[in-house]
Amino acid sequence: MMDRENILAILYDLAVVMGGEVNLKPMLTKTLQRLLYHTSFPCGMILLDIQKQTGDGNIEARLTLSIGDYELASYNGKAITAPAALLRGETAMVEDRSMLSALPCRKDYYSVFLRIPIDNSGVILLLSPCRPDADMPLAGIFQPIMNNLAKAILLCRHNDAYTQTLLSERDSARLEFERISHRNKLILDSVGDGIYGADIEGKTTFVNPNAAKILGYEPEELLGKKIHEIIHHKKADGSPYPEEACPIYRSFKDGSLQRAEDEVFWKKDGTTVPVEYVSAPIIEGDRIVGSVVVFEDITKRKEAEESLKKVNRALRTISSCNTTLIYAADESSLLRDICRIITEAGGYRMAWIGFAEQDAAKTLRFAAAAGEDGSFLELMRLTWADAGQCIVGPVMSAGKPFMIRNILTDPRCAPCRDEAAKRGYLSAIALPLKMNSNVFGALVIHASQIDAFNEEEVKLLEELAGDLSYGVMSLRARAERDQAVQERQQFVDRLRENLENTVQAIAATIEMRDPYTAGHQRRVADLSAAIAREMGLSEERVHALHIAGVIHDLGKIYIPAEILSKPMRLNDAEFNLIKLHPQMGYDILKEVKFQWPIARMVLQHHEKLDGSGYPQGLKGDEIMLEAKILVVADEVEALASHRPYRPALGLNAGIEEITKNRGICYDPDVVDACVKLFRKKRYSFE
Amino acid sequence: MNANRIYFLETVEGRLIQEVLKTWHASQREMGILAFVPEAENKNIALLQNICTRMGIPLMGAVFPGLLFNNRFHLNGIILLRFDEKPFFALHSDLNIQTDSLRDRIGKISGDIKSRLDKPRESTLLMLFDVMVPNIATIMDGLYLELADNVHYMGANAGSERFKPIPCLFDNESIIQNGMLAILLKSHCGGVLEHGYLAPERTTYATSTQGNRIISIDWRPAFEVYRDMAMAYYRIDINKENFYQYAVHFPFGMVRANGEIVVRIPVILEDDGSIFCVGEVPPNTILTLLRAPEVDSQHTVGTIVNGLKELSGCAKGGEILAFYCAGRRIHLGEKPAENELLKLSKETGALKVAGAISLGEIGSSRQGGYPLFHNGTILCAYWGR
Repeated sequence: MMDRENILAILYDLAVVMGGEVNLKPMLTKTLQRLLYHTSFPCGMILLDIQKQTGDGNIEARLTLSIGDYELASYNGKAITAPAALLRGETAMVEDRSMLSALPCRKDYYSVFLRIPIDNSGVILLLSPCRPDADMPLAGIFQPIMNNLAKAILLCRHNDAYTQTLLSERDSARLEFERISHRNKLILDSVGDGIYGADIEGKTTFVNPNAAKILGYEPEELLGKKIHEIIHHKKADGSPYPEEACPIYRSFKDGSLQRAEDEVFWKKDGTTVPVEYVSAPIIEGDRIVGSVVVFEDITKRKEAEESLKKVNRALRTISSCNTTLIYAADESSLLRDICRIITEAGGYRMAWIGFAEQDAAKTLRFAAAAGEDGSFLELMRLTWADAGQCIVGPVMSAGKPFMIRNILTDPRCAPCRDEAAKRGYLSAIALPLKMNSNVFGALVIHASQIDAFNEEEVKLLEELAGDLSYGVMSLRARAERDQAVQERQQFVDRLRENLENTVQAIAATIEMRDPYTAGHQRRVADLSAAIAREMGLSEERVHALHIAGVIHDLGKIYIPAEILSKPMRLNDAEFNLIKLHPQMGYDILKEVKFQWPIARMVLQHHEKLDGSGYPQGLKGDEIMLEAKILVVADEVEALASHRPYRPALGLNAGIEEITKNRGICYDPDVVDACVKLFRKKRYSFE
Repeated sequence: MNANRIYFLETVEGRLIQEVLKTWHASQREMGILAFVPEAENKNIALLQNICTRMGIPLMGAVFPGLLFNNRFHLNGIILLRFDEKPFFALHSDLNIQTDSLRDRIGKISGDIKSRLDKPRESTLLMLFDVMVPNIATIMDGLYLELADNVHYMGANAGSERFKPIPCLFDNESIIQNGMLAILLKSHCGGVLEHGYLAPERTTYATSTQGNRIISIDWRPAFEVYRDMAMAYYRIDINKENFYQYAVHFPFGMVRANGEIVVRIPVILEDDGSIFCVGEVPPNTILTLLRAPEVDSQHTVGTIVNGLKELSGCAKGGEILAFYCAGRRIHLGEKPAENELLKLSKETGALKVAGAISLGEIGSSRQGGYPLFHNGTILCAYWGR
């Protein structure tokens, strides 16, 4: 028989179990488990919220918890109906199989129940298929603690309600947090930039998919590891990059925002990716807990910049070369200048030009170079034979640019590799110089970078080579034309000289027939030329006037010599005959293809302003200027010279005559010029 | 169930094992094997695993301090128990964990069991625990809460009799410790256990406990009270030096409200005076000190025989699986313990009584009773008939 002390100990044990939990379900579970332990009953149930009895003797209550019967357990938390006599009543051990069969579980299985009412709160039922072996006063042991259980239920319910409120608020907050987290994750997942976070020790805390993709890692391979040691431990040149020198490290050490625009991250495959990144500290409260790094793969941008640089270089070169092409005076200086511009403005290491000789050895004739002292080209066997090792061969045969991307590895460069490397030539391009489809040479450019020439740049350099080809061909054509012009001028000069010699011969012939006028035509010619110069006429006109003066009396060849040399005054008939000589001279000369109107000058050389002259009696502007000059010179010389029919009257008489008839018979400007020659410039007949 | 489903090999040889298995396998292609290996034969587990794996026979098993067969205890050999059809079984390791995680593990274990039940109340969940798992009673409470009367419960603790941690639960490929081997025996009516230990009237209280460790009794260091109780009740002077000699003969009894006793055998004495038992001792438990000689063997055997009859009628000609508590064997002595086995054989009329010397037993003294973790009991169940 259990003594009072042990019963108190069991009650204490149960009280401690009840007091050890603040939530209803765990508290009831542990209490019921403890009751089953103490009683060996296989099944127990706790019913709360018992309703009022209905007319059929049943009662509704909530089966808050059951242990030990899976069928009953399916009603846990639900309202069930049970006989009022089962649920209501004092603490008792009762054997009543039929009453227990009203429960929603196996019929006719349980036969004994131990009912323990919970003060005004509900009831505990322990069920068994048989009476306990021990004859213990179980019905009396547990009742004293039921008041505690009732209070515990009340407190737990309050606590559960309070907890539920807190949980609801927490769930709302969690939902909001999850919503924000989800949104942030979507953003992180969808942004094109790579993003990763690191804690204060530099260990990776998160990696977005794009960061992992750029770096070639799975996110799990980076998480929890010191990311600097994986992706940022070396600089682009392979030298160590200590963490202390890293801007990202600084951002979570001093809380500053760090930016870098020209660094590399190392990928899983051992290659690098150029990046631009921003590292910002993550601050919680007043404490830095890590940093977040947003980076962009700038490979394409770098390539574009590099490409743009190359294109700009080529454009700059082309622009300067075009200017040179426009003003080029000769081919050799053009070629030299082009090479110089390519190296100076274009920044290429070396440029040279060679022309293909059509000899058996297919010699490449060196034409110009810049950027080097020529020693390298001397080392090379310059040939345009395709089988040769010179870069020009393929250009000559294909008519297209040929490139050596890496002189250090290209087998074609083996013989000159060391010398090229010594001079910093790491890549080269040869561009054809051609007119139509005829390739006549090549422009070769060496660069100090490997694979220095991109597609755009090659196109521009090809254009430059085309312009240079055109320039070379143009200069060659111009030189040929100048040669032809010079030869033609020489021919013309010889013709004119021959003509003038002929004219002089004719004049000499005339003067032989008229000794009194010997030297007259030459002196008139000289004076006419001097007047014309004084009046500012062009040398071309002066020259023409001089020719006209030399033969102005050619028509006298038809006049009988007796009349020409008659030592007295001529009669009218004779004089009329004399007056025919301008027309006769004209008739002779009009068929001669002079460049100038020599025949007309001769025809008009006796016409006067007032129309008193002959043979046409022309007036004023009807008379050409050259004839107006000839008539003045002819008059002055005639008066100053001896004539068969009179002695020389002297120069003054001539000057006087023309001055007196200035503006009447003679052109005033011509007269003034003639007077000025004699009076001021001391002109004299030789 | 068919008879001849239990085989004891006195010597462990691969050839002999293969012969037995080959014979069985010839007629039972879907069979599985439950093997009990005494601690002394631990090294032969790999051999057994290799043979079963090679033959395509599912294997599950445990290491116990010893075996029992034909009313005798054996420290060598091997016992093979055949399933005609491979049952659902699972090894669960690392169960010595904290409450929240343990709740999840129990949910997983019970979920697996539920999903494999054809019909409720017609299967038995056989649980073989590593004795070093300190929270077996809690696990049992949790499983009963989840599974209720869907299954019958029985089980025993495996491991080293010296309570040193050893891997003691295995299947074809692995051997684990700190865990449980769960086997679902279909169409099985469970087992029955009894200890028959008599309780004195004087009691005291475990005022502070931690799992299976009693820290203080009646607000004093546990060993001090244990020593005083031994002296006061039985005039035995127990000290730190002779603790291990006496402890198995003077186990604790946890007194329940119905007057029944759950035995807890002290096995380790710590320097701080706390005492480790086989099985948990909840705080505020009423404790008494049991004196081993006052074991009612007749009652024990009678309870078990009646229990077996209640479970499934007559056991005559059948095979009985038995777990005999190592502590009980020690404090009764080899011969009296074997006499209990002999009585069991005679009174049940069983063809074979075979099993293992266990380090704790799980079950109830009657069918459908609340399953508890006990020490000092004999647990019996039908295996084949």
